[in-house]
Amino acid sequence: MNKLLLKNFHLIDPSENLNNISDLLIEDGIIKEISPSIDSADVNTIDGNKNLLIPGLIDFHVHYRDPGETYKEDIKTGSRASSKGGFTTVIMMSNTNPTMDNLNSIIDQKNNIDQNSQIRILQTSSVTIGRKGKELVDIDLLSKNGVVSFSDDGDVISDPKILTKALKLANKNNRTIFEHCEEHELVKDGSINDGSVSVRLGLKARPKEAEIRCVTRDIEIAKKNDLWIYLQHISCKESVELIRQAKTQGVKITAEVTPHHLFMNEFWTYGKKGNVPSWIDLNSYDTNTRVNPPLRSDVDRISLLEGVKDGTIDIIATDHAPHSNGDKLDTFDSAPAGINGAETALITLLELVNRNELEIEKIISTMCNNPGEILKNILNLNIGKIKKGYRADLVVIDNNSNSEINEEFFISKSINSPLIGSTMKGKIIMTIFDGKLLFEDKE
Amino acid sequence: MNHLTKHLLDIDHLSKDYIYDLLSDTKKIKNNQSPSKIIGKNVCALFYEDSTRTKLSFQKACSNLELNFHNLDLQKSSLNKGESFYNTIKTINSIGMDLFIIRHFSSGAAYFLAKNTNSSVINAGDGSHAHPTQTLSDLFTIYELGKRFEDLEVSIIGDVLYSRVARSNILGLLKMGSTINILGPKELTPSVIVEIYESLDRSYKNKIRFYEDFETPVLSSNFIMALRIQKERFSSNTMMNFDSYKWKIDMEKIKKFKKDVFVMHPGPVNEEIELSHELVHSNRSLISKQVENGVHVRQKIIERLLENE
Repeated sequence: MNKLLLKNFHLIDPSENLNNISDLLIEDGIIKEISPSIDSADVNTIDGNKNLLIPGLIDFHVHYRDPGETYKEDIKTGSRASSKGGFTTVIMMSNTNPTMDNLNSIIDQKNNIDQNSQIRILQTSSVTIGRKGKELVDIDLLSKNGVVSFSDDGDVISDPKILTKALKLANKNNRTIFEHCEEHELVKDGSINDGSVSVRLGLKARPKEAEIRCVTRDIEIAKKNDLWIYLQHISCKESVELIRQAKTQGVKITAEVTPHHLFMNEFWTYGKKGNVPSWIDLNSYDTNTRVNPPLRSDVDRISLLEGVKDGTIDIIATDHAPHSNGDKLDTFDSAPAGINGAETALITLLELVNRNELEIEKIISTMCNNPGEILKNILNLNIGKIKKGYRADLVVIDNNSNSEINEEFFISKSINSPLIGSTMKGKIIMTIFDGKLLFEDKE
Repeated sequence: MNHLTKHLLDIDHLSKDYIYDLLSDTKKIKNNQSPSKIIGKNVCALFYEDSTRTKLSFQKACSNLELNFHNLDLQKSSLNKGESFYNTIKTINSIGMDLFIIRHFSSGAAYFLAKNTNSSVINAGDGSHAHPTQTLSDLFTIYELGKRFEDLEVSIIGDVLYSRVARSNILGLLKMGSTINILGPKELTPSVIVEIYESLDRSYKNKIRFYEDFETPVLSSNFIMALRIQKERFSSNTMMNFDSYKWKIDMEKIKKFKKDVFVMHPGPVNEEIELSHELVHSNRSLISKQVENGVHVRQKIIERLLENE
């Protein structure tokens, strides 16, 4: 029997009312016992030194670029980067090349995952063939073959009839559609939030109206047909308000936000870590801040945090979108959108805790408990909690150390992060997956 | 040397004293050409957008300074072969240039070039963002008339949202102490402009104002800067009905202004849309003067940047 004893850790899991120093025994990858003092005789033991122990994080939104753009990232490097960031389970988006829209592609990708991933990687298929918004994939067949959700991420599903039909089929299979909420016509040539920064820098905007219209429409569809929908990377105040109101009416919505929308605002494009400069200089037009949906105003950022706080937003997911240095070496409007987030997500959120903008319990509910609950319903997986009988997926955090984010910090193939040059309070020192130590910070 | 003295990317980093000094130096060379101290240096014009007057103006300025002017015709060059902007920069960098003059359809392109080259860079217009040599020429045109900038009220009219000239001129005029009125179609004059520029310096407070029509304070302005409607830059989400464009200034309208008001325009003018033909060619128009002065100002700027090397 394979045993591992974690001794003297500060366990936190709001779903289990855990917030105390305790020991935890793992047997064959499963949490066997949680108790103030467990006998350590003959057991491989790690002394926690009262560091925080939280459930392994679940990321509902990653782009590992595999197959098709493996110069940016691949399943091996992406999963390693995620494990360093505290993630033990992730859902890969379907916008690879070729698109994951048929069983053969899904099987090929699954083989690649089995050979190259150290963590639990779950797959999505696109909703429509080639993500073109016209013809539905075989949702029944793909659901029976491991696909956990369906998404045309990167693009909205413009046709409400197609979305409705897809939702019905997905819901029938206990699954849903992960919807990218930006109405295409309003964003097709824009690259930044519509506000003072777009006007000062002379950049065309992706206005938040594009998101508001789409969220409004999707809520209507879910409400009218009594269907469950998942709204990805919500970015503005109005969306939070619409979702909050819909939820009080019993509409079945799961809402997601990214750490970058919680941490940064549109001012970051000036290249001054959120400060507004007196003059534009060579660090401005920071292409690493280009992301869809764009970083919004601070008012929006604060209402997203409020949405997390009051439960309007259920999930924090990274939208980990690696791009090579070469890809981002371009003008702002030509550079591809996306932020490398797997390794920085948890520590940016811990920094928000340090700034009293977020509670650590909310990080755990949105990155462990809530996504775990959804996956329990889909796959009957016991993850996302520190609970007897659950998988021993765990993260150890040293809350007294800092994380310096520099170019060497990243083990992802790409380093496209506007956070380079920042220091965050808190450090991930261990990731345990299925009872095995997967990542350890040796410093 | 830091980027502030090596490049001219916009007006925002220049001090009022520096600008006065440049204007006064330009006046000297305009009256009396002195021998060039930077003969034979290599200048590369990198024009990703059509331009007639600006390119020619730079070319003339370079020829006055006896510089080697290399024109990269990007219609025929590797742009069409799919070479990235970055790789084009690196290639020309290896060939070796002392100065780049760049016009590009993307806002920020001149900054990207400056970051990735060892040479000096002059921004000859980047997307909707900045056009500093146009602004310095316009300031010179005003200065040459013997006006005190602090006493002036300037109305900037039309497509402010997509105009790089408007952005740089607002910065330049605020820096010199003038008061600015902004007016134009609401789709093209976002009200956030006042907030953006006021917040840059305490002395700009209440120096930039918004008007919805040709109201009395506008009619008392000393200069009118009309802007070209830049349809080619409109975003897919810009909704605008041109049938109701009410901002044209003609001989009738100009009579409502002060007698000594002058009309400026960065060109090319859409005659009968922004300004009437008659007004463009009247004695109220400084448009030809602006073009003429552009050569002298550009010459002085090039000289300063290359002497600094």
